[in-house]
Amino acid sequence: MKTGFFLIIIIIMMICPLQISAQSNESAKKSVTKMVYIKGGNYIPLFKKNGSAEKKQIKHFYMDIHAVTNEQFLQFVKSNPEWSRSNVKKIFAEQSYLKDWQSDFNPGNKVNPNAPVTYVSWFAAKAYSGWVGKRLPTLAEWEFVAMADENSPGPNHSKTYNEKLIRWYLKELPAKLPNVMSTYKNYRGVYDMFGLIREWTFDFNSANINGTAICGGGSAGATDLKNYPAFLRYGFNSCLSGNSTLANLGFRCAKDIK
Amino acid sequence: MKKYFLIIALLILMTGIAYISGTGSSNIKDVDQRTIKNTSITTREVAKPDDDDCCKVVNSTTTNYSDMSLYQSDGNWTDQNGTKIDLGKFKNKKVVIAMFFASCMSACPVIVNDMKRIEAKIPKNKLSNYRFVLVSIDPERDTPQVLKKYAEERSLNYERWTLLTGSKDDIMELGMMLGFKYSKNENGGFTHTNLISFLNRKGEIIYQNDGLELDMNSVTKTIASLN
Repeated sequence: MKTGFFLIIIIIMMICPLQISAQSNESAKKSVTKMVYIKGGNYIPLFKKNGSAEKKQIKHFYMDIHAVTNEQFLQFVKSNPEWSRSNVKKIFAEQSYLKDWQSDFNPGNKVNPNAPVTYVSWFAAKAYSGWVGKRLPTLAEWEFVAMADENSPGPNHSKTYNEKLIRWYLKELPAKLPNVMSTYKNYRGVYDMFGLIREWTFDFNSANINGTAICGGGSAGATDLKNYPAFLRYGFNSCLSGNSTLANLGFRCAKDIK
Repeated sequence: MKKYFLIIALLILMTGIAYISGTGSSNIKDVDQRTIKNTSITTREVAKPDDDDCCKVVNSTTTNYSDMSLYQSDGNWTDQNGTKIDLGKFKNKKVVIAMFFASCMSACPVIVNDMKRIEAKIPKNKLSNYRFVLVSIDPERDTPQVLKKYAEERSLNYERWTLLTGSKDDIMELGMMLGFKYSKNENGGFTHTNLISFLNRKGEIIYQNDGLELDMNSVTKTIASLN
């Protein structure tokens, strides 16, 4: 009887610390961003396809409440050194990849660890998303969430709101980006959709396939002429390729509902 | 009797603790360990954790190919015969590649026809150095069977022609590497750019024909320069 108890107690003592240490290691290595449930709905893309405005059905999904930070991206790079600055393949990221970091595995003092990571390519953003078991949001999902202002699911096309967004698009980027969640929380519980950085989406280049709507034809073919901020956004997207890296371009993740 | 109950109760408690602490950090932990081991980061491996072949390929691709090689991609593809292939298979061949979908009635047939015109321009004795690759952007409908039927209707020679399908993720990634843009329409079709790309033996893009007019002059020069 007694020996049996001792045996069990010893086994418990052996197993528990192992489990606990494995867990704490894990959390130190990968901090996963909180997500919110986004109730799906209809979204009307800015550009008409084949002459008619097309409603897009957005399914319910989860979205990160903030963009991926320098600190979080550092964890990813440490675990996946092929995504460090000196190892990354040029086809996946251009020369300026993580350019503001001091070195491969050290963002340094000039970078705010809690600010969104920028100078990351679409390929890197996609790889990070897979690493945390998530994915990039689609362009339609991102735009759907971005329609919301602080008090309503939107879209809000009031003059004052539009001007606010345009003013932000034209604002100069600060030398050191502020923390994530430092701007505003929108109706859907997601932070910083505007006012901090621009963000990659899975199919960022799919809005404007033939290139004429922005570059040549001006507003021809657009469904909502009041939505000038969206023009700026789509124009910006159509200038990017998958390996582009820019000072104001980061990302956040999304996830399917299982 | 009592002591056995006690021991069993304790054992249950113990396995409970072990189980809870083991699953607490969910699948992500498994993914993490695997990705560290294989130095790869894609969701594909999450879906196929036991596929050792895929991982060996990943390792070899990341070490052997040049920085701008399309074969850096670790996408998993399936050809018209249902065979799994890696794009690196085309290494050391000159490749003419385009993205399309089989039910496309307008632009894609033109693209495929242009690729056949390119094939016809190549001297017969050099044809074995070339591969013609069509990658579907419509994985839901373009099964290997559909691709095979498509190839046969157009008399594409399997010695040189390969038709591929893959996951949405891999297709988008290849599209990004080529600079090919597409978007699914509500009616199930796609809006897309029209792009034929030429790859050298290393898998680097050396020329692209953008749009529906084939610039045969540049194509002929490209063929001549591809050694």
